[in-house]
Amino acid sequence: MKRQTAKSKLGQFSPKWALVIVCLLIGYAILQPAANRQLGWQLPSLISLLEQSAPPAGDDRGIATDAEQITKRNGDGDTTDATAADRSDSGDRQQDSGKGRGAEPGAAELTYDYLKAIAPGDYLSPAGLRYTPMGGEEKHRLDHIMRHLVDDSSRPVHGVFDGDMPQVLRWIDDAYQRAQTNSKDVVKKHEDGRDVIDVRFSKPIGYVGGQKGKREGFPAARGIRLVLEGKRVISAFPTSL
Amino acid sequence: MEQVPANPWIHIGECPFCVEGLCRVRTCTDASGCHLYALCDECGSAWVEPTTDSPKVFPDLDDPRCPICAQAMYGDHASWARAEDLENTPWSSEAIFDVMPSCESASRSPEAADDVVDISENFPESVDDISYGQDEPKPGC
Repeated sequence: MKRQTAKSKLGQFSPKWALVIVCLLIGYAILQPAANRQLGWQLPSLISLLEQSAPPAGDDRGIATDAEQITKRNGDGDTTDATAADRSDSGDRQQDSGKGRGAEPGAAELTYDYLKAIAPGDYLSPAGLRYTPMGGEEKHRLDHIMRHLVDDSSRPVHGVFDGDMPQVLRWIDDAYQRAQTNSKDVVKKHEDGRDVIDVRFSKPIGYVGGQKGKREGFPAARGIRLVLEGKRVISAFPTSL
Repeated sequence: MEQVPANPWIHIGECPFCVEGLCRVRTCTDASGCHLYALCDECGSAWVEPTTDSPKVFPDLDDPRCPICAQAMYGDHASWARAEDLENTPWSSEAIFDVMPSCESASRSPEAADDVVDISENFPESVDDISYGQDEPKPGC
């Protein structure tokens, strides 16, 4: 009986409140990038919030299936050549990553709700891009990309994404997939096995930070620049195209 | 070997490949002594001569090595260069020394290493940020 009462109350949900909630969502969607930019916050984008609230089982299965298909398509060994050193240091990263890179190879859990671990420290996106360990201070390409989630005023120029890692990884995949076409919004440069790919988006996906960005009032960045070696991501960051 | 943070960004310009990173000078030491090269801190392209007009090399992604001596690129024998590392080398006249923005200025110093030492001495000795050099390749890390 109580359940029916509650249900009937839900059914009578006031249009006024529905309107208020819609307005709040629209306001959040508009203000979130500006708040991240101006105040240095890292509020997740509305899209990523909505995606995270979607039923996980179906999504996970879908993404994992895509990744598996991509892995099969790349059946040239490209996805399994992580070095012993890569494998040995992946344990540390898995501990310090929180919800980020915590997935073991073969585990159903997706890293950043998006990437599938195909070997220790080796992550595959649905579009087939690989994120692998790297030398130096950052230890992993995902950490390297994560630097571009916040501004760094010490750098001469520093592209900053207006989103969290799940959103950024989707943008990178989107850019990569569009780069496979001959779109006028794509500019490619290839040298000695490496590619620099600029992909222009219809809306800003970040802003130009660093000293140059500060001087110019943090102009919006509508493009992503991908630096790749084959399908391995070296770097990705917003750029003003 | 404890690495003392060098204060200015020491580089040879913006990376012409990714057009985002700085081609920062690294020092590496082997049995024959110390040598220098430049490494883009965004895309990892490397130059063995002190100009980005010279040919670049792409270190191996899985096993990056010094483009001069082929030792491992990272380790106690290697670091981002400090001003004094460039003294009496061709790099001293080509490198750019960018002051940290907390000082609200940036300077290009194409002159000899005399200026280099002065710039270094002008910097605060303390590095209060405990994350300094840990996850972000700031100068000296």
